[in-house]
Amino acid sequence: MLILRPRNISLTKKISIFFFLVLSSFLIFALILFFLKKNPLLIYKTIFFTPFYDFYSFSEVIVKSTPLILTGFSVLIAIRIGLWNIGVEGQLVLGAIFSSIFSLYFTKYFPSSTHLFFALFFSLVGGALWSFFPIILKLKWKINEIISSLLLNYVAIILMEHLYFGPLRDPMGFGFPGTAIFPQSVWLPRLWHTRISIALFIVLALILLFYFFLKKTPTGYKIKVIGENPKAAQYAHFKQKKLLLAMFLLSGAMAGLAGGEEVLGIHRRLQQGLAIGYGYDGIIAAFLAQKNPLLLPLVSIFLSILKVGAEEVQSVFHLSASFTQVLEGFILLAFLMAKTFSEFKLTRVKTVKN
Amino acid sequence: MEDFLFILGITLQSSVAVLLASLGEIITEKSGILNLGLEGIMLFSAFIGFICTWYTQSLILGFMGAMLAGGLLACIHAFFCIHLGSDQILSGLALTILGTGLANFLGRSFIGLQTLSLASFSLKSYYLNILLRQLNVLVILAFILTYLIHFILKKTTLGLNLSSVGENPQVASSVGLNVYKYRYLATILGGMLTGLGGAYLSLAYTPGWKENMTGGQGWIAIAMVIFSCLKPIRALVGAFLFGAFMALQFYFQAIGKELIPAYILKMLPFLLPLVILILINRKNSKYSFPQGLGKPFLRT
Repeated sequence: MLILRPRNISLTKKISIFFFLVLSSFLIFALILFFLKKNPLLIYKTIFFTPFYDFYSFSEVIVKSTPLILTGFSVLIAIRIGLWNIGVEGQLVLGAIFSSIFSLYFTKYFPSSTHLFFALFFSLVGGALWSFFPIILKLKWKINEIISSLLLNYVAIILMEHLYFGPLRDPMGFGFPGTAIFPQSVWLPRLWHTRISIALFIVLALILLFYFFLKKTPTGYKIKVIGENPKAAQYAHFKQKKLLLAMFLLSGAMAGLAGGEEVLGIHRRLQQGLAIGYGYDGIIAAFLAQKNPLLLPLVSIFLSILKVGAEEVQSVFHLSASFTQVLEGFILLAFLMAKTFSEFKLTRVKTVKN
Repeated sequence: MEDFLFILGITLQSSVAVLLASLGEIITEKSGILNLGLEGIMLFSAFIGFICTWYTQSLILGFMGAMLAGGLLACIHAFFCIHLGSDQILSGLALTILGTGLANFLGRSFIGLQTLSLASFSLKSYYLNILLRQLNVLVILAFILTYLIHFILKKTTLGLNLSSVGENPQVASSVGLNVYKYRYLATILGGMLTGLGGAYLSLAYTPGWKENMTGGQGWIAIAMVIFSCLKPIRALVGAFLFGAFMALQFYFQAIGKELIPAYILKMLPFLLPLVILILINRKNSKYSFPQGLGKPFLRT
C-alpha cells in the first residue's frame, strides 16, 4: 500500500522536482505527438526558438503576456483572500464591452486628453460589475462563487457576440463581425514600433503596489489571515464581508482592465478573437507563481513563449490551437504533483491483514 | 397538443447529458471527492465516443469507449485527490483544461464529420410519435439510472458505506472501510457516467463532432448537483428545467417568432441554475453535503 510521509527538503530540491515533472509532462505530450505521426523534436524546437528569432518575435511574447499578467493577477487577488474567481474570462469580456461602448459613443462628451483615461476606467467598471454578481450571491445567499462566476462567463460571451454581430456592428464594415475602429484618442500608445503598449508598465506598477499593500499595511495583513486561516480571522472579529467584497471587485476590475487593454491596445475595435482563454490561463499563471505577485510576470512570460511558439507550430505543422491548452493542462498537473512531492514522499508500507 | 408534445420531447431529450453528468457527480461527491472536471471529461468522451464509432462502425463500442475515456480522466483526478492529497478544485480545473484541450486538439481533422447515431423510437400512432421520435434508449436508461442510483444510495449497505466515507473518512476507516477504494470507485464511476453523457451528445443528441460541442453543459451539471443537495431525484428536476429552456429555444426557432430575443434565450440555460439556487436557498442546505467533501484524507 502506498502512503505519504511528510519530509523536509531544500528549496533547490523542490525546484528541481518541479522542473523534472514539467519536463516529464513535455515528454508525455511528445509521445502523443509521436503517435499522431508528427515529429515532437521539430515541434518543440519551433516552440522554443520562434519567440527568440528576432526582436519583433520576442516583443510578441511581451504583448501576449500583458493580458495574461492581468488575468493571473485577477485570480491571485481573489485567491489571496480565499476566493476562487473562475469568471475572469467573462469579466475580461465585460471590461472590453464597457470600454468599447465608451470609445464608440461617448468620447464626444469629453475633452480628448481624457479619453484614454475614461476608456480604461470603464473597463475597470465593467469587470468589477461582472464580478459583483458572484460575490454578492456568495455573501448573501451562500452560493459557491466558483460555479456562479464560471456560468457568467458563458453569459458574457453570448452578450458580446450579440453586440458585435448586432447593435454595435460597424455599419461600413461590409458584414465584418466587429465594431468600427475606435477614435485614435483612445488608442493605447505603442512603443518601439512593436505592439507592446504602455499598459505593460501600468500593469507592473499595479502589481508592485499590490505587493506592498499586502506586505506593509494592516488591511493587507488581515487579507492574508482571512485567506490562509478563516477561523482565526473569525476569532479576531475581522470585518470579513467588506474585505471579501472589496477584493473580489478588485479582482474583477483587473480582469476588466485586461479586456480594456486588449481592445484599446491590440484590436482597437471589439471583434471576434477576444475571449480566447486568457481568463483560464490566468488560473494557471496565478498558481504557477505560487500566489506570489512578484513571480507572476515571469510565469506569464513563460506561458506566452508557449503561446507564441504554438502559433507558429499551428501554421507550420497544421495542428489545432488547442495545442497549448493540452500542454497547460499537463503543466498544471505537474505543478500539483510537485507540490505534494516537495512536502511528502510516497512510501510503500506492508498492510497487515486482520 | 402537438406543440406541447414537441416541447416535452425536446425537454426530455435535452436533459439527458446534464442528468447523466449530475448523477455521476452526485456519486463522486457522496464519497467526499469534488470533481470540477466534468466539462473536460464530457467533451473528451464525446470525442472518444465519436471516434470509436467512426472507426469501428459500432455504436456500442462508441459508448463503451466514451465511458472508458471518462473513467480514465476521472482516475487521474482520483489519483491526485486521493493518493497525492492535492487541492481538489485545482485538480478538477486542470482536468477541464486538459480534457477540452485534448478533445479539440485531437479532433481538429474530424470537425463537422458525422457517423452512426442512436436511432429514435417510432410508432404508428401520430401523437405518440411526435413525442417518441425525440426519444431513444438512452433517454429511458438515464431515467432508470436515476431511480437506481437513488435506491442504491439510500437503501443499500453500499450506499450507506459510501456516505460514511464521505462524511467522516477517519471514522469510516477505523471501522474497517477502505476509504481509498470507495473514493476511487465513486470517482471513476462518476467519470464513466459523465462520459456516457458526453457520448450521448456526439452520438445521439447532435450527432457528429464539433469543437466545444458540450458548450458548458458540464458546468451546468455541477450547478444542478448543488441544487440537488446530492439527491438524484432532485437532480432529475434540475436537468428537466435545463431541458425545458433548451426546448423553448428550439420552439421559438421552429415557429419563427421572436417573442424573446435569441441571445437572451441562449443565456437563459446559464442563468437558470443561479436563479434556482437563489430561490431554493436555505440556511441549512450545507448539511446535505458530506462534511468531508473536498478535504483530502491521507492514510497514515
